[in-house]
Amino acid sequence: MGERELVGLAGLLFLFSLIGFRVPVALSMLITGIVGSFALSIAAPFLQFGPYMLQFKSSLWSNVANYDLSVVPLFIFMGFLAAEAGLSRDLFAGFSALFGRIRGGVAMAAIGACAGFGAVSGSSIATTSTMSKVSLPELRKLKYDDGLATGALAAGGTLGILIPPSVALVIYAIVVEGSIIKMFQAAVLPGLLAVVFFIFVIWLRVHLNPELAPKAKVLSKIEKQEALWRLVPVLLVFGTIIMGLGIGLFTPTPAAAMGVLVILLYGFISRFFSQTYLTVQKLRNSILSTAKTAGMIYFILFSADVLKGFFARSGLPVALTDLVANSDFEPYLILVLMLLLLILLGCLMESLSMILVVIPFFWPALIELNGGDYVTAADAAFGMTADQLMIWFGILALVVVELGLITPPVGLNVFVIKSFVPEIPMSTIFRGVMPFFSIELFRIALLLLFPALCLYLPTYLSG
Amino acid sequence: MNVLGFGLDHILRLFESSFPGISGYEDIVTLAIGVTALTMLPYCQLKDGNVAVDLFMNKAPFWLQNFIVRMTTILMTIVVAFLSCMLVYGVLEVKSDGDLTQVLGIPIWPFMCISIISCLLWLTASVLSFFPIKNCEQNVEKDHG
Repeated sequence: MGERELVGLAGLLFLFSLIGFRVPVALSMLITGIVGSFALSIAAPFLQFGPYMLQFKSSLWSNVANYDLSVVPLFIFMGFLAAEAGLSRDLFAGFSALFGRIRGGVAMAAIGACAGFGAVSGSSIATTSTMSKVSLPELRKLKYDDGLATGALAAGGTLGILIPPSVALVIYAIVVEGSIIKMFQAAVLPGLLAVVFFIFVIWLRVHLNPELAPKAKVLSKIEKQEALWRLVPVLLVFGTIIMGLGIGLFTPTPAAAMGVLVILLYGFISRFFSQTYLTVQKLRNSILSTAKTAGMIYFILFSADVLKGFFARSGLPVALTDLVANSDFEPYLILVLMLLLLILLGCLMESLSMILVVIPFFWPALIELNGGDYVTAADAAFGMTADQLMIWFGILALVVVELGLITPPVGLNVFVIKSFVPEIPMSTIFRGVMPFFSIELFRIALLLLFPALCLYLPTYLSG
Repeated sequence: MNVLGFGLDHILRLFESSFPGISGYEDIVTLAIGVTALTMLPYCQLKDGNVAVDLFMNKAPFWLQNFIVRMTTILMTIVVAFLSCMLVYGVLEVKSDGDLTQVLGIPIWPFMCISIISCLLWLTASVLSFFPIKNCEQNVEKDHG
């Protein structure tokens, strides 16, 4: 490693130190990018600092005025609108009607509702927070075990990051210059697999210890029908987006715009048949919440671009790629090590920043390991083309990033739930999460062993 | 609009007619999102929406926490002031170069001008971030009697 690469490495350590000192992640990335580039200009004088700084004349504008990124605030807005329009309540009621008879059925309904809400919201934190607000009081009223109730919601909330449309999938696709639509298609089966596994965990826990969940209340036929009808709007939004993208009716930005439009219409119309509907005040709240979240994401995206520029100038990603490509390790072993590192970083970093900081290092190394950009599936180390690898690795990485949301000490979803039930100790919530964490590890193993779980739908839908 | 156009085209094709695609749709979205995204940054700053990770700082002594928050606020203000200045230069450059959008040929600089206002608001929000510290200090002083 030369001086430049060492500066890059020092920059990486500096970045993690700043994050550790609770400096906002976006600011940490931006400062590391600028200070690192200055240090580089000293270590390698041909990398002049003055011309580098001049790029800031246009970089802020060119980063935000990006058509591909216009989908981000729209998906976020869709999620907040769905919460305010009462879609989360409808989902929970609908799934409760479906699973109601089974012991532990309300916790299973919460998982189903999390998946459904994940399908109209692009964010895990939004899913956890909204579904906790809706279902946690009900679970506690029914005397569900605190660990089971909070664990199920923390795990269920992670579905938001994977079930399309997901902001994290959009960002990943942009980082690796892949297709957003294919990533959405690829995430459907692994997302459904997670739902099935989470429901299985609840069933198993309740089966082994029936005291964790009381006997379920049986709904009348009319109550059941009413609750099931309330699932229709979510199916409509999800269907509009996924089918529209699948049959090529529209690209992600118009799809998100359609999703917003459908929820807006549903929210306003539902005043005629429901107690929860969209008011002007609620619309205003959704817009302000979107501005706050999307503002945070845009700042992170801009800062990540500055940081990426610094690392590229330092030559660190290339050096690491060479190191990996020339090592004697098995490609699968390196992939597993990368995923383990992502799990470890997930305990310390916020998920979106992790995708933006780490993936630009990992992705070129993986491509090199696989045999380059134009390798055929037959000659590739992972037995797949670069495009397929992009999809498979993206899903694996996001599932691993999901794990970070429920892994101590950061585990953002756990903190979100804790804010709703301050009287439940953190240790109880983390204990409740552990069975879901274990099944997640099993799901990762399955996705690693059977890449078809990620690749089947994009391949099938593209003909 | 795009989806509506697509739908219209499909319906009109039944009557042996057609509706042409809306050209330059991406240009308008790009400009609109550029302006809108930057207006979100001041609000996010004002509401302390920038995500930070609390690994061990919550266990650190108050003076250290206070020092870090102050340094972060100062750094943020400097960074935003720098970005705002650079954006002004950027607008002047784009105007003198006569940069236009790719399809519709709309001049970009007027939209960037709106972004300068957003950046100035962002700067104001960063400066205003000092005030909660003052309140926080007062509360802590009150708590410690």
